[in-house]
Amino acid sequence: MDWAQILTFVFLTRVLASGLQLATPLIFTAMGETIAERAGILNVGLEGIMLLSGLAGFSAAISTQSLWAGVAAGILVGALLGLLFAFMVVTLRSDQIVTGLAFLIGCTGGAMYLYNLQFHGRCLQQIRPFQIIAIPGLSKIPFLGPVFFEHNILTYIMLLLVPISAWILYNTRFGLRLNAVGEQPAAADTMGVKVRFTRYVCIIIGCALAGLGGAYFPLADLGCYANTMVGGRGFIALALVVFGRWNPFLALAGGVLFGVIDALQIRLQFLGAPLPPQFLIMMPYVLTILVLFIGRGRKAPSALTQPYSRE
Amino acid sequence: MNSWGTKIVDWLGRLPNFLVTIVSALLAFGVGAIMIAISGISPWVAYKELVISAVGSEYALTETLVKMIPLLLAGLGMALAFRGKLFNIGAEGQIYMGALGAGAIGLFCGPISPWLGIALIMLAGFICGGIWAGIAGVLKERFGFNEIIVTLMMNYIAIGITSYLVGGPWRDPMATEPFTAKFAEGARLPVIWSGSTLHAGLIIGLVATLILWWVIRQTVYGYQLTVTGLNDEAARYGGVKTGSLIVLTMFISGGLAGLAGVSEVAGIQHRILEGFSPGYGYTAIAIAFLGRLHPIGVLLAAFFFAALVVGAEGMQIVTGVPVTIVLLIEGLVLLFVIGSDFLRKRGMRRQE
Repeated sequence: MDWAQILTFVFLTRVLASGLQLATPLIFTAMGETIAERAGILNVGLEGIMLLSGLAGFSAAISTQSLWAGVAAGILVGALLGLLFAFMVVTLRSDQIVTGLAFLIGCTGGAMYLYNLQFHGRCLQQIRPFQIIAIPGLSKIPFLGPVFFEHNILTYIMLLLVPISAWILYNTRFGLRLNAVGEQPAAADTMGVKVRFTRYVCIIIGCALAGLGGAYFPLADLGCYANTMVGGRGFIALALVVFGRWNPFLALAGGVLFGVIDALQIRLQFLGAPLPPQFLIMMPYVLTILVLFIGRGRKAPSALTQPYSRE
Repeated sequence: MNSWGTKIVDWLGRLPNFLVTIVSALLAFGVGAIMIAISGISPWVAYKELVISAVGSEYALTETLVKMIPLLLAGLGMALAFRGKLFNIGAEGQIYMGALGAGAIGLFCGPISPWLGIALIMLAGFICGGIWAGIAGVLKERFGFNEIIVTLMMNYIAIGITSYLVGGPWRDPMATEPFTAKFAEGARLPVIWSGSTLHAGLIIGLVATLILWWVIRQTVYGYQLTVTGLNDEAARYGGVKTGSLIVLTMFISGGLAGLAGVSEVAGIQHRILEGFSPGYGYTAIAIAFLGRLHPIGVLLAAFFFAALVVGAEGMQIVTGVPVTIVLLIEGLVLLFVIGSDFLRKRGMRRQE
């Protein structure tokens, strides 16, 4: 490997741009989980929900030949799984972690089973994923143009979604209510906030966004479904929420950091870095443990994982 | 609630735990049957094939027991951690690290006498798996890291290390696929049922079950762990050093999962293959909960899931139902068990 190949402007631009794209599914999921955790719900089953929604998105896109139908299917399946999760942890007051683990195993198994059934476990049909749209004018700006304005449509949606969720969380009545539900559910209840309803809504939003994150892999990246495509990103998203201190903008920053490291390791493999590829592949996972150091000591929402009942 | 609903809830509240678990399993199989029917195959035929392939002959039964060994050992490890509300979900990585520990002995210690060899591979595997989980325990204790995230990330790291060693420095030079050379004769677990592949790992698993049962029921440590799991603040107030308890529990939990890795590589192939565990570590999580975190319960649940895995392979060959349905059924059993707990709690409250 030649260091001159790496320390160039073009290389840096490419790594940052593809880092933002690789970060997109992570950030969708982390954004949804930020909303859910602020309402007091920890969902450790996101990984499985992403995989099953990803399969739904791929399958819908194949059968309708429409990528947007795939996006809708991913979101819908995510939302339905969210409804079931909400029923378990809000109505039945089941342990959130145990329920999340059941979702992890059940959804992963469900996705693998249905993939075998429908596609015989092989991706023979490809779809043409969302293409890069260069925004006229803006993409011509040196450096910033290729990094921020040459992406597929889902990455642009992600970039818009972050400020929107921050606005909802900090400036709307709903956002303030969901914070109250996550911090002091009993007090919120006294003030007339519908605690259970709010949690239902937040869980469904969270899982729908995880569904969108899962659908990103086949629809905007691979053009195909693979059992390994999510590869722990559901859990990395959980770490991002902690790293981001339950703040959407910081979660975005963390997500981009991951994406860039991921993009970097992929490129280094390609260039034949003097490191075994296994160690390069490990980098995002090692980084996840390291970023927890940065988020440590920050207070999680007080009522996180606490079921609520009036008794 | 109408009178029928009340009656059902009352009835559920009076059922013993294991019956609820069995009802939950039956419900999960019911949903599984619908999923099989979707694929156009008769669930009746498929399930019959599953049972025959799992326990229908001496061969089937020994195969099921062989599959049960790693699931039992890793399941025991997870059950111990979960008892203390430590969500170690990294059994998969700990299995791989345990296998590497065994490999370090079996590949590099030259000829070795069987008793010493078996003792050493078990010790090395236990320590490697234990350290792997212990790291997450230390990070939780010192910095409050969420052990769910850490243990899961460490799965990917352990699998990466294994794949590097098996494909590089430890690779058998004669091999066409990435795997190591065979372990020294003395560092293998002997077959204990002639004419089958059933190996001495079964004895390790059963002994571990009994020891863990004794530890949980009879020792101060077991009592402290259970109390901490129920209410850690009360435990601290009562004088339990929860910090060292966390690290020790994670170490033992990972060590047991490490033994699962040892038994898998030293009992069956006698070498480490890249990706030798088909997700045993994840199934172990389901097994721990299905066994109600009780060692005997874990033993029964491990047998049940092993039979499911072996049976599903037979079912796939004969009827074409994909073997991955097992994971789906596992998740469903868990969901039904968790859901039924709620009904039971209500039922018990009504009776009070």
